[in-house]
Amino acid sequence: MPNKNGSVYGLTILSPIIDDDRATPSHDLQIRAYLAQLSTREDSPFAIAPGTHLARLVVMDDVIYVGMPSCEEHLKSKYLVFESNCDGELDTYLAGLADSIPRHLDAIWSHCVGYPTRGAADRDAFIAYMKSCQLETTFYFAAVNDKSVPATLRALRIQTAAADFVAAHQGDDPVTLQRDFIHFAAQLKTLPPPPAGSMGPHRTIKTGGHNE
Amino acid sequence: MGIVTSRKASNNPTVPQSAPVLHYKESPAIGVGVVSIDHGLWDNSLTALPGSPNSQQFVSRFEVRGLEPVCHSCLSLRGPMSNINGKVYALNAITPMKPWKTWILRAVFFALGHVKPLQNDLINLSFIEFARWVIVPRRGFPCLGKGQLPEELKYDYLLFFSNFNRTWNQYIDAFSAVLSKGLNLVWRWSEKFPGSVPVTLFKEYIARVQFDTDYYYTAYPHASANDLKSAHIVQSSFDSLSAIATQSSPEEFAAAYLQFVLQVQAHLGETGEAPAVG
Amino acid sequence: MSKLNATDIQGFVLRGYNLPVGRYLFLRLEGAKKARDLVRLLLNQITTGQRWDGGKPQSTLNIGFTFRGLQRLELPLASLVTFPVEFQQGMRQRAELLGDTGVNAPGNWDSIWREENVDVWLGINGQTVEALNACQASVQSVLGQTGGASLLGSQNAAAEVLNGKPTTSEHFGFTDGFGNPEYLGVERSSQPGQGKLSDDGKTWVPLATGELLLGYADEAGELPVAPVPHLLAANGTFMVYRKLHQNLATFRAWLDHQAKLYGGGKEKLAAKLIGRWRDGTPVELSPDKPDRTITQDPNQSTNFTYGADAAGTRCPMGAHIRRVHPRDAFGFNGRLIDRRRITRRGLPYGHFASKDQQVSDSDDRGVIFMALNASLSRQFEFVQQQWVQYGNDSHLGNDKDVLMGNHGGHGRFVIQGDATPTNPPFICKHLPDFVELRGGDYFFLPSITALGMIALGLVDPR
Repeated sequence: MPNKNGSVYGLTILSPIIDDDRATPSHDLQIRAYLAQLSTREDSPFAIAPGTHLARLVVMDDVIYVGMPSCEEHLKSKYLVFESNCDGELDTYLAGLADSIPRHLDAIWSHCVGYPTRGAADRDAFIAYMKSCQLETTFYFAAVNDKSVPATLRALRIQTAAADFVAAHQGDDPVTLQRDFIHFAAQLKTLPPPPAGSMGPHRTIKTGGHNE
Repeated sequence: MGIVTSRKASNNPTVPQSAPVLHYKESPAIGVGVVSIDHGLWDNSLTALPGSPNSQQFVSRFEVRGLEPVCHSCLSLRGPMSNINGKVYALNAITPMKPWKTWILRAVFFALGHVKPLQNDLINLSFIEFARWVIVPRRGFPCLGKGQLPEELKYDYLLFFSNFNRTWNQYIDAFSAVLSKGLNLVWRWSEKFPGSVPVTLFKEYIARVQFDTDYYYTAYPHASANDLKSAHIVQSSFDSLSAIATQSSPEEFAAAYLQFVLQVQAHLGETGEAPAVG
Repeated sequence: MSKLNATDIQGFVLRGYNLPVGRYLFLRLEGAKKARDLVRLLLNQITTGQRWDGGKPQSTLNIGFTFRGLQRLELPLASLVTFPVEFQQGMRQRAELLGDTGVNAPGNWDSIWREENVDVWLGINGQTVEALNACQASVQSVLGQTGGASLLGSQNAAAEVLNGKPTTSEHFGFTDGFGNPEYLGVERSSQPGQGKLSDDGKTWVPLATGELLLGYADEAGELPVAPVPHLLAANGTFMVYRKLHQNLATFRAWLDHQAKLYGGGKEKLAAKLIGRWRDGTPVELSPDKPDRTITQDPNQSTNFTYGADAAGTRCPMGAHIRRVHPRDAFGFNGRLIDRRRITRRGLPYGHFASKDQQVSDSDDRGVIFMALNASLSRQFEFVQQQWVQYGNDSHLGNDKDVLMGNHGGHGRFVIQGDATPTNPPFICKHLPDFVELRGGDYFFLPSITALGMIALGLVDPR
């Protein structure tokens, strides 16, 4: 099946951006400005809407001239690229976007040609519009292709917690070990689902990452 | 030789559409690059050339293998770091193809998709989270009417979107070292592709055809592909252990727990920030 | 390929001298003309790579320049800008990238490095301290004669001497000095395991010369990008110098404490940290005990791969030597790591304490780490950033190298094991900083020809 790899869907959407000399700043710059101030972490629209593993938005100005003997050519419009790696079927995913983050969708895509006048509030029109801009993903590779976003986040949390548990309970006698493990497993179950888009629990280890 | 055109030149109204912003000149002797920049937006490695005719011209060492390419727009507020989120890097590339060659590429992708062993090397280079190629035929750019001019192109275009861990240099070094044949099979149909070996010319080409990401989201920025695979292994073993935890005697549990530890002991690395890139 | 011209390459680059004592002088250059005179006068004392048919000399002298130093020598600007960005910035500005943060941050370095004044490194190696003194006196007389530089400071280093013979031990008690790479054309006694793996996954062949020396083909099958002009760069290389203080008291106490909890005992635990027993036996070849027959046999002491030990039950996945030289651990017959090798030339410094002697972390001891490579960013910096301060390539997430990482009391080291009681899985927690960076920088070690050009002010970019 094109676009799919296991249970992950490779959505590629190319939306032509409105070309209007009278707009100041131009529509592509307005999209850029909006994206520049948008959070990429837990409060990202894609963390709020369900089902997105990884996604990117790129304003593609033009094709690239690679030099002679190739011919130089140019696009007549700019395009907003939306590349998403998401869970489930396309319709469900797009409906999820429209229902959870309509204002963000409108703010971004209202600068594109043919976007429904009522925006994402008109869910069917929104889905139809996105599909009209969809390109078929010719070849799609996924390292892990059978786990949903919530399952992945849960697995990451368990990995961190289990590593801590193993480290803390070395050398315990069997009775203590079993009792503590049962308690630990029960506690894990009570935790709310881990948030998407987060850098994980705060730890004091400094790796020298540029965010520190 | 080797003119590099910045994608974003067209955003600057004073620069005509086809004027290059970055000039990359290659020394024929030993492959040294000298970059001259027509607009003074760069980082701290600029030195003014004494006596240069244009006071705004600077010369800087652009060693493709030492630096990540910084082909970003004067107007992009996020800057080159927008390609990175946590441990993952978003690379976008677009290359032109003569339409008759596109059919060969489609056959290559068909083979890749249906002959699983061909994907093994890609899987073993375990630093790609998701990657895709999208062929956009020259009449395939969405045209929705409402005054939008339809495109009139000679070439088909190959879009490549990758989400990978580690640095740009490391990524390309690795592919050039071990997957050069596969890379060639995909990109030799693109115009002016120099081959994936040797690596310096290959990196120059990628720098030329790469364009920057404006917004990059990942649900798990603190986890690389390896971390994800480890997480699933640990979770699976943990669930199995939990299932029997309440029903075993302490000795039985201790034995099962040892098995659990042996299963997960190679998968306990911490997750968190990626190393700082220069 | 053509034979290397050993007389044009600095001896320090081409071979480890195996001389027991060393002293490194750091100079600040005073004015381009006088500095060039200094270089010209020192030139005929510089030790080349020529073989010593008459036995080892009493002392050797070698020279390297920081980017600042090259600027002060007033090399042409068009040539200066062609040096790699990381070299231009210097090691101090690369601190965040290298993970030199926290206790390793430049603010904590020795003042000579904190103040970024070092232009020149002069490496003196010798048979005796008297020989070092004699060489230093000769250097100082040239300094006095030309006024070309002032001496900012010096660093002594010396191998541990046991029973009158120098050893290759370092302060934590491990035998060091294995695993320097073998390059094509660089004559030295060759050992299997030092080069790169060939396609059969078992035999070892030399690495391309261009991984060490500029101006030669490298492992990527091309002449790598190098400074301009060709004559300035060819037969030269880059060196990273790092003064690594060792917290011996912390290490001993920590090891004693952890060993009580580890089923394999203290020596095995120590071996698991490094990947070699204290006498140098590779854990991969002999996981249960040291074995002198392996260590003494050059055909075995560096001849092993990790392919059969993917799970790390013999040699842990995070063991130091496995991290910094993964061999075939990443698959593809090691092709992914062939361009990440470095040549080490360091010596320990400070007083060697016997096992029973009381020690303190504030005692002045450690190792002067010096590594040579054609590309600082691709080789040393990469290993430091991706394999020492991070663990993703080894599938260890963010875990750092247990010995060298800047843990700050956090972090973990996992020893993979099996079901036998003497080889249990074991996690070391609350890792302290065993090693602290006290300073250093990046140096360019030119060829003899290049030194001559610099001395005469004849560097001509074109």
